[in-house]
Amino acid sequence: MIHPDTALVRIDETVGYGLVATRPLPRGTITWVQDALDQVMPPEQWRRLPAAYADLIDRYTYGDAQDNRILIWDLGRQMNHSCAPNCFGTLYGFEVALRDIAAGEQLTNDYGTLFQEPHEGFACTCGAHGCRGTTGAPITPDQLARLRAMLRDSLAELPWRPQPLGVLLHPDALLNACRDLGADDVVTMSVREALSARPRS
Amino acid sequence: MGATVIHPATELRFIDPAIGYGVFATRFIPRGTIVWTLDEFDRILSRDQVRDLPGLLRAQVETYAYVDSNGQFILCWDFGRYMNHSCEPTSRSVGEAFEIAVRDIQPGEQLTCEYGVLNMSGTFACACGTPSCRGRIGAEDLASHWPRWDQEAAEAFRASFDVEQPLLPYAKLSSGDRAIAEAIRDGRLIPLPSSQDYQAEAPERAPAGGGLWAVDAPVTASERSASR
Repeated sequence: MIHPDTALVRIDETVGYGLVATRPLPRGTITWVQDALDQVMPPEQWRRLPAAYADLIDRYTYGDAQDNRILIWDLGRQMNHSCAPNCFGTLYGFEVALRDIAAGEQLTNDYGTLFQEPHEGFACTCGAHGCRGTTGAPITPDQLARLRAMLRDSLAELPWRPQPLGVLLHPDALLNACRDLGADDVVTMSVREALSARPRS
Repeated sequence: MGATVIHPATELRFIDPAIGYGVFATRFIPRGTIVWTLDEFDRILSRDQVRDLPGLLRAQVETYAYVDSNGQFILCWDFGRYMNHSCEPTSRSVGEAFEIAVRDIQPGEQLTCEYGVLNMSGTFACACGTPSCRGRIGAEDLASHWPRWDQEAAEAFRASFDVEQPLLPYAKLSSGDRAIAEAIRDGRLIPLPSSQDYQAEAPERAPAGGGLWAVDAPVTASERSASR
């Protein structure tokens, strides 16, 4: 589920829709959590859909390392690409604001971190320093290392932010990310404490 | 970007905080056009599945899903779930897989449907402002209004033979709906089911649990160091 303080707005003719913050979302805010309403379609399911669905699969789902296609159920799937995104973490099952996001600012992530078929790419107009020019190209190792470092640093802020989506988060998802990103022990411990202090849903 | 499997000539617009989003035509959509179809991506949830969801998600399902004749919740994956109610809607339900335009829809006009056939629990105040606005909308409206609803559906079905149907290839069809889909494709009149045939007992809606991780105000610096 996407953060409740977001709205879908029309950006312009080229970009179409985008998802913007309706209130400031400080760094460390969990902006999206993969939840029970999202659909994870295994290859034997999505490859067997009627031909008409090929375009929907390309446009509205993303892939993971197991060739599943994930269809986000809510407006979270309208998040646009940027080569310098302000959110990251999709494949951990959640996303975090990598820097402070102002009210009215678009939430973005880097499609190059997702498993995309080459034909799914389109020209990127994000204008960021280091823009790869297309959303279809995989992220460069340097860019990925930078995103990982930013996410790791943002995890240190995460336990201290209001987290309306925290209740949906699977504890393993967050702790796996801490481990995978090499978060230091103090951060991991405070994340663990925040998780255990969550109210029951 | 028009989203199928709500009609491609539509877009989502935020109306106001009270109403939220609505679906609007971006081009002319002629009477008889299928404007929404049930499809393979729509999520079908049993009452038990909905009951077991975390409160935050259950509240979303109870806001955006409708209940079909089997008492299951249908959560449309696309903008279709943002279609608002009108007492003189732009489309009528034909079977359980189609909403068909009952009149020409002009560019910029909002697409609306009849919530009285969606097995709602409870009622809501309607502000559609149409001459036949019922004021308060609930599942019990079906009992007195079905003849007009069915007649409009039948007329829309007849009009469907003469217009393009870009949504037909996406339809997810039960056997009853398959007969309707084939009739539309072949331009052949068949007897249609009545809106009364799709009644289900409205499910009880449990109050959504709260359960936010943190308080509304950010944690202050002193609290933060204390927690460490």
